[in-house]
Amino acid sequence: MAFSKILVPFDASTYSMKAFKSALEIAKNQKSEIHVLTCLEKENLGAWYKDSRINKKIMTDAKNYAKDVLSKLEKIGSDNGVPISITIKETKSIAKEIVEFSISKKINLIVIGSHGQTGFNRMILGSVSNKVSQLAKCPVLIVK
Amino acid sequence: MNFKNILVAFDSSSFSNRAFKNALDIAEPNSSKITIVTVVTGIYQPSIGFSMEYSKELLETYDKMVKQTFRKLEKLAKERKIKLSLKILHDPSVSKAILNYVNSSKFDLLVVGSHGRTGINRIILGSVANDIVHKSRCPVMVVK
Repeated sequence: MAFSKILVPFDASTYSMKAFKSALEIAKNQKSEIHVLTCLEKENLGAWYKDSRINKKIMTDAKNYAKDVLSKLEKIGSDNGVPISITIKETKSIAKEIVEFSISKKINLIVIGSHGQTGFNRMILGSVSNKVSQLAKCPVLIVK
Repeated sequence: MNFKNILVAFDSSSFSNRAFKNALDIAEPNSSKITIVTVVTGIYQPSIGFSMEYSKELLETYDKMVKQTFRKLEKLAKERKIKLSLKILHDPSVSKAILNYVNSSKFDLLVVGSHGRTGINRIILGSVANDIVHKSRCPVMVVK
């Protein structure tokens, strides 16, 4: 089938949850597998501190939290019979990481929410989804 | 979320052909309806831009051409038992016409090619695709 590998960039926002649900819908029909990718932004965490140890602590906390949330998604996937693989990455540029991941894993479709954690304006696209929709090499489904 | 009612923005460019094929892939297992929308912009006149007023005969021949290509698409859809319908819009602005149509009627998914007739740069989105991605209220799939 056409969309055998679907990538869902996930940041625990309501939009990304919506994106995950529609990805699940497509995956059920096309018998595809879903890759869930969570990117933790390096620069954002404790940028005020020069002490790298503090950064590390924030990062491990964030990772643990992400794992918690993502394990829930795994459960939803196994309930619906869709194989789900989960990746957590630390990165400086989220959009670039998503695009690179999609190329390296040969993803056929990216399903992304129109806004993420910082979304406030309904009319305009979020920065990450905007960048991904422009740079990605595969079809991008933007869920509103 | 289930994609029962799919709209494909079509301008017979290679990108929109690809968009149509992807739409078929999504539509097949859901047995959903596909509507194809084409915008006829009239002829360009340097003094006033695109106009609809002076070109009634031309518009008719354009419509005929659109219907011809539509018949080809219909054949492809029939092979996979998908219902297809055509909507021709007359408007000087392509993106505005599509957006008005999408936002005024109920569609679950809009599929567009990343570039249309004037596509040059493969990296950045075409102007119509960009406008649609930003302003449409239903999920948009951008096909590359």
